[in-house]
Amino acid sequence: MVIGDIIRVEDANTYFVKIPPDAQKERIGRMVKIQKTDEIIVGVIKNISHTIREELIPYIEPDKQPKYAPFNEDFRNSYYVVHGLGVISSGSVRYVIDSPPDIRDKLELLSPDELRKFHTQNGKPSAAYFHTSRDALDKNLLLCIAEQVESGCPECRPMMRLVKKHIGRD
Amino acid sequence: MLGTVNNSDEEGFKFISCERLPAGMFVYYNDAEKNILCRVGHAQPLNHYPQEFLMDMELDADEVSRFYGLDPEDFKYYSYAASVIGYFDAAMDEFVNPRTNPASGVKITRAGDEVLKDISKIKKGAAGSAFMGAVLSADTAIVLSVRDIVSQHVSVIASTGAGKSYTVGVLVEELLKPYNMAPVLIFDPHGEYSSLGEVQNMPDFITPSYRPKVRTVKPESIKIRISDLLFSDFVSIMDDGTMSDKMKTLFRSAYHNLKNNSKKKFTRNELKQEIEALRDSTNEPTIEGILWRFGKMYGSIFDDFQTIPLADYFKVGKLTIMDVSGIEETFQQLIASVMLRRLFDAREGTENNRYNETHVDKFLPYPVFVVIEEAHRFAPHSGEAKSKSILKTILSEGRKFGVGVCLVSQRPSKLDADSLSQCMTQITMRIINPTDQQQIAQSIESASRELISELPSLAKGQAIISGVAINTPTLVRIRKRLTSDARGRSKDAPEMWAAQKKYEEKHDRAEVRADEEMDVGV
Repeated sequence: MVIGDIIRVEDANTYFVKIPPDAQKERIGRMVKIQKTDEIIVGVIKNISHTIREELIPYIEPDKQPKYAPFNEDFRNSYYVVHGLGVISSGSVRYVIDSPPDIRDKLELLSPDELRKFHTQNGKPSAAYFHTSRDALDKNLLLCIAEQVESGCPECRPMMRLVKKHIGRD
Repeated sequence: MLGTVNNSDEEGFKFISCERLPAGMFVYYNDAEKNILCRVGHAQPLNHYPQEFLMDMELDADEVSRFYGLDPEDFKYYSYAASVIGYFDAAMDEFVNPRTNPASGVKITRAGDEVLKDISKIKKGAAGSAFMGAVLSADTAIVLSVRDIVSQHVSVIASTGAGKSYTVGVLVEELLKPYNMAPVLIFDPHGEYSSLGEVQNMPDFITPSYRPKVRTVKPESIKIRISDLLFSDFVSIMDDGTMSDKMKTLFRSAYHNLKNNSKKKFTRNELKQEIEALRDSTNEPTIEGILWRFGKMYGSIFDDFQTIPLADYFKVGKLTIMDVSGIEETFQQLIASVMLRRLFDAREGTENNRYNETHVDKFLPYPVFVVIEEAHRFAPHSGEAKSKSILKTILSEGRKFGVGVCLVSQRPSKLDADSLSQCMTQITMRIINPTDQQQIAQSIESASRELISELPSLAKGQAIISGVAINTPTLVRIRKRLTSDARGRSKDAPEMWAAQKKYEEKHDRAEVRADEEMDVGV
């Protein structure tokens, strides 16, 4: 199910996704995916923003507003800030993103199968992106991911229990 | 390569390695074509596992780390503290500290024979050498300089069961080798050195022109000549706490009258007559009191003529074991005191030309070596012992006159600190008691203090050797003794009980029942 369109790619790991008007919003911490032709970029909703920078609108000529502020007409617009965690590509998993998504790529919820696949590396349970994401994602967000992994990937549970303790301590 | 220098400070430097290295091990780095020897100190892991990853007893911390995104290999590295000893300067024949630490990034290498050979002052098998064992983490021989040991004394300190007597045995074996031929005396309160007698028939000790001699003097053969005793010795034997000042004064008069009468050697009866001669109407009971106490001087250990035959005990290539086991401790002290006093007098007199060949039993024209077992009994830290004074004199002045002493003790904290600090070579084995460790730390050279923390963890037969007889303090695995080591070992009680049971069964000893025993009486 598509839950939004990418409208801005800040860097390889940070994307802004426009939430369609009246759509039910997902919670922060929900694991999501961006389907590409030959791979799936897996990420997490890091934040939801309702703030629209309108202060520049008066300085843009009306005929140029659709080009430079195309969403200005709808004041209820909201955005997901998505943090990319890794890639599922040809059945293998990498916790690094070397090719970020494009504008207008679709953001979807990660399926249980994909969640399990994303947490299996070389046949073993893995959540190795946790360590590298410690600086970018806050504690509660990581704990939220951990809970999804625990419920969707039982083989990760014993180790995720210790990882949660570790994250919870800091 | 073993590791890489990380940083340095005033304490030394730190290097990183993935190998497990024991504390005290030697490594080196190269600086300006010189191999700088360093000693490895304590180690700590460079990185620690997150503590939560260690909380599940079933899960492997490496597995959890990998799951979390950490490389388990990162936890396999150690940061080692190390200190610079220096490069060996052949001209100065010692290690010279470059007074700098290695720069960050410098490679550290395991020290091999080529570097470690310089730890010993002398080559194995050379004249004046004592091969004690090998460097703990290598096979390089550790050879002490006998010249330094004899002239500046040595201490062997260890807890019971750590291999103290064994090590002394090794040292004595070396002293009796054909390349040393030392005159050695062991003052043996436990009678545990008799197996050293085997050296007389071992090929390692025999050459066409040399065969060591070993004599064990049994307790009943040890005699103290009455005229060798000082006034204070007499008083310490006679006074049971009831000897009045008047008695002591009168006895002193009798003793000095005899001595001043150019009567250097006297008998008990002569001294008794001298006491009797002081009798008058005013001191009748006092004289009686002295004579009654003088009766103690007729004990079997005292003799009018026989004494400790120095010239016989101290012969080149001869080991004399004075077995004083079973003798009361105060008399052991007295024997040690008389023996050491006479020995010091003989060496000092010979060196200063007071004695010559005509002075039988006083002319001793070569250095000698004395091992004092249970040294804390003879030079105690607190309290007095009859032998303490002369032992301290020998330790402080023996160097000039060639009387080398080896103090052996299991309780350094009970040993006189001055005496211990005069032993300029230290062989220190496992010590668990913190007070003893503290005492050792105070009495040995500063360079080896960093090894003190290793004392409780040393295994049997491992020792820290430091001091003047070696170029740098070293952890040593003491070599195997050539002679057998049966006496010093702990008894295997369960094995002995089983053997006794078997013996009793074999001889079918009838068990005597208590009621039967009573019947006999009835």
